Amino acid sequence: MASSRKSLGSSIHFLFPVMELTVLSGIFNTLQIGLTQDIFAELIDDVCLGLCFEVHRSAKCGFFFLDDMDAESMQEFEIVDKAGVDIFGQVYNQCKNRDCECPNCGRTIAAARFAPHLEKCLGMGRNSSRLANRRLANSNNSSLNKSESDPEDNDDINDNDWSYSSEKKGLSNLLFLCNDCRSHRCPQHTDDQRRSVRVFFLGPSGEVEDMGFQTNSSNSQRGKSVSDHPHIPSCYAPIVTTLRTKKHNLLNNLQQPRDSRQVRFDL
Amino acid sequence: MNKDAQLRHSINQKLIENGERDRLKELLRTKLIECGWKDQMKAHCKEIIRQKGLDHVTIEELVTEITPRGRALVPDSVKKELLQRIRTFLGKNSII
Repeated sequence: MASSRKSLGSSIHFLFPVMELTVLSGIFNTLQIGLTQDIFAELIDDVCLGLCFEVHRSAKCGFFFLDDMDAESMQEFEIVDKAGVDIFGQVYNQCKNRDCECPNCGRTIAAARFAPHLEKCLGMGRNSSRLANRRLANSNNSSLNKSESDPEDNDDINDNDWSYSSEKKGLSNLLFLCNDCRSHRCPQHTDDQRRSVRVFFLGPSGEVEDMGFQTNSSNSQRGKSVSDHPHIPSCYAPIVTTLRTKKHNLLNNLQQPRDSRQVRFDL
Repeated sequence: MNKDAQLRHSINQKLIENGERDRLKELLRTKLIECGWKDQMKAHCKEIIRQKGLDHVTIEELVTEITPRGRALVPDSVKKELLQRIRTFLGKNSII
């Protein structure tokens, strides 16, 4: 018994430093935990304070209560979540069925096709040269390709009436297309302006209307040279393709006198 | 007690110098907004303001009402993460 007590005592003596260490480290731990808790509490207090400042300022400046309103308007504008209907509760295929009336030609067009139709109708969009212009360019191109070699073939190949009128229109059309819109009835310019441009280029003969050359009768105006036209000064030169090259060529030809060779007026 | 205060003071200083305190604060703010703590607190503020009347609310009253509630409402995950970060900081700088 005594020995057991002694051994117990000795073991206690042995154990005591170990226990001390654990107790101490436990104390350190609690200290550490306490510190971290305190630091955390300070951080939370800072955040709370920031929030209080924000709320107080917005309340005093009057914009704190802006988002919750009376029950009536909340219900009125509530978000709708059904199928087939948008969040306002409206069915959203309606506007596609509405038809619009074109102010230019007076036809009723579907809303989705209205903008391209208007482009073509007014002749003012990017790729929207009027059908007439396009057909004109096609007929001119096809005649231009064969112009140097066979004067007579052209008469045979193309319909007389059609190319006749296109040629006449070609003169005034190609010369006096507005740069912006390539239309010969461009709404940006008045008739007076067009007439004055015509006069400037063609002299007093420009006063005649578009189809005025018909007064010289015969259908075989094609194939005659520029100099044969009674109303056009001989310095006038034929014009091809785009308006820019037309202008450029016109200016060039005006500067250099043409030789006496017959100039074909096939456009 | 003095030693304790001194210890805290030195820790705070280290935190600030390092820039760690600002980082911790930003992290805490972001987390609290994400978890909806800020909206809850704002709703609580609204009630308080409605009770007391807009004209009579002072900033001190607001702070004294809000802070204990704010402390209580912090979610555990946020708390744990931040405590962890603080502990690692203290360990790294061998303060304890």
